[in-house]
Amino acid sequence: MNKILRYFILVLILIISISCDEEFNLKGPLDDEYVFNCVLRGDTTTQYATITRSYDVANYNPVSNPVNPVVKGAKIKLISNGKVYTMRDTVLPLTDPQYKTPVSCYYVNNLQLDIAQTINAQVIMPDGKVLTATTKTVPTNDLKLQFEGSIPQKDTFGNYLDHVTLSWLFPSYIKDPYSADIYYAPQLSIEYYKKENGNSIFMKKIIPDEYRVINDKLVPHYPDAGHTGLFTYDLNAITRALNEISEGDDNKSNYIITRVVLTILMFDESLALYYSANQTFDNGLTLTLLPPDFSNVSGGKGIFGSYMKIETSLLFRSFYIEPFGYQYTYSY
Amino acid sequence: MQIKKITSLFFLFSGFLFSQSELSTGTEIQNSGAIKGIVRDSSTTEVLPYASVSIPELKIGAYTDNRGYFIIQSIPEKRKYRISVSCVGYSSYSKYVYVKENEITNVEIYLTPIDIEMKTIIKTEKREKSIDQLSISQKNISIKDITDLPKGVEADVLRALQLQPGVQSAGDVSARYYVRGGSNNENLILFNDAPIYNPFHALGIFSVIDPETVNSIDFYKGGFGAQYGGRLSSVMNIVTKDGNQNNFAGSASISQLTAKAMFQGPIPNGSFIVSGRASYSNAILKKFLNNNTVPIDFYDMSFKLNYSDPEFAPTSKFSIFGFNSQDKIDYMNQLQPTYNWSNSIIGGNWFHTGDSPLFSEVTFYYCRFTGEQSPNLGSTRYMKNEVKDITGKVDVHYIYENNNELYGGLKITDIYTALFLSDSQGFLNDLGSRGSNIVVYTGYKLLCINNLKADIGTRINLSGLARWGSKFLEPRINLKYNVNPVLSLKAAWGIYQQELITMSDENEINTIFEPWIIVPDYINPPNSIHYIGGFDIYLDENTFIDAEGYFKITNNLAALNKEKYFPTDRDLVSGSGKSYGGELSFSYNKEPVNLMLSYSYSWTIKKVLELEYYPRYDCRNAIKFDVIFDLGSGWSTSAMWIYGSGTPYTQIDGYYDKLKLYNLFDPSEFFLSHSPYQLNGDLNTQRLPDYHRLDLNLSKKLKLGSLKLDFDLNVINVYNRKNFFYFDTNTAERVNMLPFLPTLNVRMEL
Repeated sequence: MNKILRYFILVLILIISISCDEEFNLKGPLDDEYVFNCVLRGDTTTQYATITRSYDVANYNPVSNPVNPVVKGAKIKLISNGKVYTMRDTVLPLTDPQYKTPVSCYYVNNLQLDIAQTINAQVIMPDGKVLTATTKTVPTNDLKLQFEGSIPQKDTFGNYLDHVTLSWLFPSYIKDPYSADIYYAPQLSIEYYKKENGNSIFMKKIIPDEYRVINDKLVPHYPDAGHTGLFTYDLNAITRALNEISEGDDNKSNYIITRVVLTILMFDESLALYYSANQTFDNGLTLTLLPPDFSNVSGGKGIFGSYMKIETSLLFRSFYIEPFGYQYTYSY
Repeated sequence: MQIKKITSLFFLFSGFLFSQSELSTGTEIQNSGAIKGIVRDSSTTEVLPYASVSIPELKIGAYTDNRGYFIIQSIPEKRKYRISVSCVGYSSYSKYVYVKENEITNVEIYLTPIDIEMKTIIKTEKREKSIDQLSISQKNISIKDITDLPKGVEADVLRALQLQPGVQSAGDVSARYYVRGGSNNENLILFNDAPIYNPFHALGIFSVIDPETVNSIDFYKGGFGAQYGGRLSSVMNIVTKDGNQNNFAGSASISQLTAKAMFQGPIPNGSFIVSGRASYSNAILKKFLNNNTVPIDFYDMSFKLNYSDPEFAPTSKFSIFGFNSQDKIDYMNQLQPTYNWSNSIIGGNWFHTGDSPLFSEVTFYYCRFTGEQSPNLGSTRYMKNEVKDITGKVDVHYIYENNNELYGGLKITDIYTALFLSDSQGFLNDLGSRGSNIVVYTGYKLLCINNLKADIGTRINLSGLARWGSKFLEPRINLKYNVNPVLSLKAAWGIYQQELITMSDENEINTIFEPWIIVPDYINPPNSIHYIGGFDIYLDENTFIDAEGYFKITNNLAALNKEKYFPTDRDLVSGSGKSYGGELSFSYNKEPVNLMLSYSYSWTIKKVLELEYYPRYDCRNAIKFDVIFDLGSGWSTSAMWIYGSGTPYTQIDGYYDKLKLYNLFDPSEFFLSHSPYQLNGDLNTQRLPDYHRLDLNLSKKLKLGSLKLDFDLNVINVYNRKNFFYFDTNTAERVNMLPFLPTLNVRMEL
């Protein structure tokens, strides 16, 4: 037993002598990655892209990175139907909120997206590294709107409903309604003018789909983007939004309602995945610690996607809109 | 139809075993009797589990179970025999008992504890590692094991497990543990047979079980029998004290964190025990939390009432027990979240022995766990988890004349879970569900053959908590072969299933509480297969070597879906895992020294979404050493040294600015909305520095009349080893585990 004790004391002394602070590196060598972001828009011919690169910081707080990691001098080609669009770099009159520097980006002026168009991106970095990606625009011509365009809507028996249903179908395109093929982001808004000092100022009020009581306060909720072409708006939410237009202003006739607009953005598959991954994480609908790092850019990170935009107008029924006191010419 | 079939099969099987035994021992019944009884502590009247009861003249004997009961059968009748009873820490005792033909003689034996001024530091190794017992991967932990070793701030039931080979601690600041490569949620912790779903106080630093209330602890790190189910890796069965049947007594103690008190005494035909513990200061916790003040408040309380009326039900004991623990973290700041979590148990038990070698037990309990994370005005999301568990069960043990044992039972459980998660706008989604599990278990312990001992059983799931995919049978086999008085070989195999799981990211450093849910419909419940083999060597009556190797395969391992892109995507995906390794322990118990040295070598590998990796708790080599010296005159000292080779971590390979798209209706977002995203290296391919820590303890027991005083001085991390815990990315600071830390505990008992 004494022997064991002696050995133990010996081992203990050894441990104490070697127990100094062992250094190790939580960080590995910098994974040198380029990040290419380009979301092509169907409602404009001017398209933008940004390129940044990965970086490291002296500590473990990446927000402390002092240098904007933007990459200039890359060659970006967008290729579609044999036609090549070359993007040029520029600086926008915007200030990056983190780096407090002007926003550097790449742009092309003359790219009008067509439906079901495949566009390939080829990015050659200043060091010769090549990134590639592909997007295919959504065939918006196949979209079939399926709702009554008057607010309030009626049911099949002619009774007015307390909600507004906006729905559409994509019969030939959708294989599986829950597939990642397509993703819709709807927005219902009221466009109006406000008369001020003899001028009419154009304004827009985004309508929430409902108001929720959270911590005893009414909080507007806007519809989440999703796969299904079915969104429901609470009529009370529309009424409340209409009231908010002129809240605190007794002179209601100063407001001219021009139209109610439904705007639908339709994301391609990659943009849908990228967008939703962040939304799902930020909405707390997962318990993972980090959002998935989705990217469709080969050779790097980022997103190359596209969305198409369609707009359609809805009308207010006169019995509904008139009590607000606004000017509105298209009601019936 | 299937249920009917199986129930019939079960009863047929049971009937067959009964009849076989009666046939085989029928002739002996005509000429023999039996002694059945209970062994208690003479001062506290608490039952003494694992005491040895023998008839030296016949060289036969038995051990008390965890309720203090024993039975010795096949004793030639019409004679007086001297029975000898011994238990660690107690004076041996013998008495004469007259054995009648075809009758069971009931005895109640009281052992006197050895005075504290005398040699008291004796561990239980000898009794638990008896050559006659099936003890693969099993450890009976005595309260002395917990209280005599160096403590953190105060003695803790779950922390004591860290000394067991094959048990990996989650760190100095957590009592959570991993057994043979299983996740933390794969460990079943039972309080008088009722599960405690979140047995941790204060961010997991302490367990909710107050050791003062504990009478016995059985810990199985694998290969457990058919009587236990619902978890994949380990079982810890805690049986609380019954209370003093003769005298009122109380104790109080104070540490730098809590104050606690216990009161016990007799009631007509029974006893009671009540205990409570509450935190009163957070100062010491700052040492655990990198000098950060976390406003933790907690308390726990338990009670047990026992009633045994010799006229109404002479061989029955009724118990009612309860337990409640509450934790709260409230920063008193509306921008900081508030956390509340609680465990509640209320239950009852009727234990009946009768005038036959049949032990039966009816238990019912209601358990509830709630955990709530309220964001207040901060950015944290609201989360609430609730588990309600209503269970009724019947357990039966029949001991044959040849000491073989048939056991079985029926357990009906109804579990409701709710898991509310709020989205960014405060809307709640519930991921909970409800399910019922009806399980029949049966087994047969073959103990009558000299060299071969076996326990063969199975659980039969007649209905599962999960709606589909549950395993119907969970067979288990446990064997021991005594080659000679020195060497025993042992082996176990079994299938284990778990239908209640926790949902949390395993990369989270320290979770406040892990939310429980029933395995959802879209994945099958996890199950594991244990293969265990080993040997025991009894070098002499004081020296014992235990070696075990294991291989564990886990299927349908539920893991968070890291590729959840859409809200409609599943939260969980099925993975798989395997772990294997070997454990070697050496123990020496001879007054005044108790010593244990163990080494374990292990591998744990998980595979989720086609990615194979080592989980964060995969520790290749671990050495654990503890020694207790009785210095005499009430003084004792102990030391504990734990070494673990570096556990896996993932290197940070840089950052990039990730485009955050929230509202594509605003085109400027594309240019302005970005935030840093961490680029990680290959998952868990790097290893942290080794962990090691030495703790020392010096204690003095004093007796002043009827007042007993215990003083405990502990020194944690004697050589101030800087064991890495995590990097705080907010402060860019390395956070280490516990530094050099002396603590003092005082305990009074009347």
